Amino acid sequence: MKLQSDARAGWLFVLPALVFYVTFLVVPYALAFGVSFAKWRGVSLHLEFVGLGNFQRMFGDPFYWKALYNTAFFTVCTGLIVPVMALYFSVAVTRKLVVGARFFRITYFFPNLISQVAIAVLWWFALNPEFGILSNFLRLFGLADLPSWLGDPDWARRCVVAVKVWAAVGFYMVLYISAIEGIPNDYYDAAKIDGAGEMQSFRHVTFPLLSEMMKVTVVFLLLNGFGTFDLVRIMTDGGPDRATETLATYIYENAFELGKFGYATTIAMSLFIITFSLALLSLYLQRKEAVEY
Amino acid sequence: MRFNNTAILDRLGEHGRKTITQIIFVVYGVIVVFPMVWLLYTAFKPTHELFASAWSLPVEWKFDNFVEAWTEARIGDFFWNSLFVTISTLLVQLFVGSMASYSLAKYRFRGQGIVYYGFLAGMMFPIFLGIVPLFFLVKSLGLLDSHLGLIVVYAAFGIPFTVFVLTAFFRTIPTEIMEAGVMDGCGHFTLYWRIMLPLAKPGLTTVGIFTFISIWNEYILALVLLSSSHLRTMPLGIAVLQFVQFYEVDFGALFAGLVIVMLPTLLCYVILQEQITKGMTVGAVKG
Repeated sequence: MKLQSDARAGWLFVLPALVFYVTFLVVPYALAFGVSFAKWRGVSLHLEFVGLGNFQRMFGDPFYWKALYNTAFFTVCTGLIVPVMALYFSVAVTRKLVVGARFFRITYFFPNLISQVAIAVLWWFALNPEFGILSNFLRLFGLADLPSWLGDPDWARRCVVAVKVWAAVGFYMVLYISAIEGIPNDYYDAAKIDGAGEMQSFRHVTFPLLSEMMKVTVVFLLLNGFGTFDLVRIMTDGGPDRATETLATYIYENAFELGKFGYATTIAMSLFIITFSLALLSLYLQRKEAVEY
Repeated sequence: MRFNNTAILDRLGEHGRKTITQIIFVVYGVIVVFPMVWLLYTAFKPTHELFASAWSLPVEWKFDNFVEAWTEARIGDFFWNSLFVTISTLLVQLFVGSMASYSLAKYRFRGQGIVYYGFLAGMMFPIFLGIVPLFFLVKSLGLLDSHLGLIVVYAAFGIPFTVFVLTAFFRTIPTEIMEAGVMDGCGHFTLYWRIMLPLAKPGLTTVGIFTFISIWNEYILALVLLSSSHLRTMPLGIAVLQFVQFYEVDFGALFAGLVIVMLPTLLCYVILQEQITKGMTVGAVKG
């Protein structure tokens, strides 16, 4: 059709979105590459370029390594726990192994609708050693001498992981459910005729056919894990003793509390490089041809 | 690990397995739902009752915490701020994004592919990478600490997802419909506005619901771009309230505030459940 090949009109339709997108996404991201090589206190547009100085400083900064370690810890733990739980739940729901599947499908998704801020405050209450529900529940069983949860460095880290899992499982469960529902029933019937039980049909039918979805999952989990900010900032503010500090909270602290804008951007650059290369690596490792069905 | 130990599960037999599965589901269901239920009824308790007994239902159901949250703690103001920002973002993002998607799906011009994949690439960058330059950019445009600034930034960050979903959606609308429109004398914009946009309503609804939920809950950008207390959105307001009430050891308004921030999105979900779960998997799933 003639109208469709009118390039001028085509561009005009794209233009407003392009202006928004370039101004507020492309430009800041592009600038970040420059700023990460500069010393910049943000007072003026005067940037003093220090070459790799910021990176050198970062590699020698023990707080950076601690934040990186914590971030990696959160990402790895949630990255292992969330998909396993979500897979288990979605298989049980779609293969009708539970009564009330529809109810669980809906309620398990609830945490994904709530602001991370609200989740953080809610759990900050729930984990309060005095009146929080967790401690009170454990006391019912006569357990005394309970840890102070968010007040204890090791427990604080575990609690952040638990809350992250609580907040995320429903989302991945819905993703997997829709993928499993897309698998033709004949496959399961055929497996059944071959004498496969529920476990075998999961191993030989469901799991291989979810490979595409797994690629998506890994990227999501990486971005989500390395971007951990709201939960930690509200629940622990990186404490106690920086035990839950993440790269994101450290970036925020450096930029908007200490005014070290150049250095903060350098850390952000390292965050980007790590996330991006891990995403590429995982896609490369999972590159085997997609199963067609 | 309980999920992988197939040997034990096999020995249990089918009936045993089903029972265990059911128990796990109920227990996890309680872990998900109970904290929210606890929050809900605790919001009707005065703080001293919370300290006296954390579990029990309020002795007397009182609405005072909600009144205090809404007026004194200014959650009411933050609620309207959030509503204004969310709806404005929704309108800007859907209008601008749908035009771009329509063009990318139905027009043909050089550089189209670069624009499309350029938009999608936006979903791959962590927000923190650009946060410092973004702050100064918004500042130099004179939009720092204003709702307008927040809205345009939100709309821009929403474009990748909007384009991703709506381009796929516009592609499914047959071109013959456009041809019929041209026969009737429609110009480029009339064709888009009068004919194509109404047909894209299901796609717009999906994007709309998701944008609503994510903007209503957004924290990082609001934290960085807003500083005046009267401009705060709900998540910012709640975060500040937590800080204030922690020192005053008076949590009533905070509990009530949490209930208020959670309700709109939960209600939205319960009503539009089907559409949300369907929309989530657009493009992520084959066929």
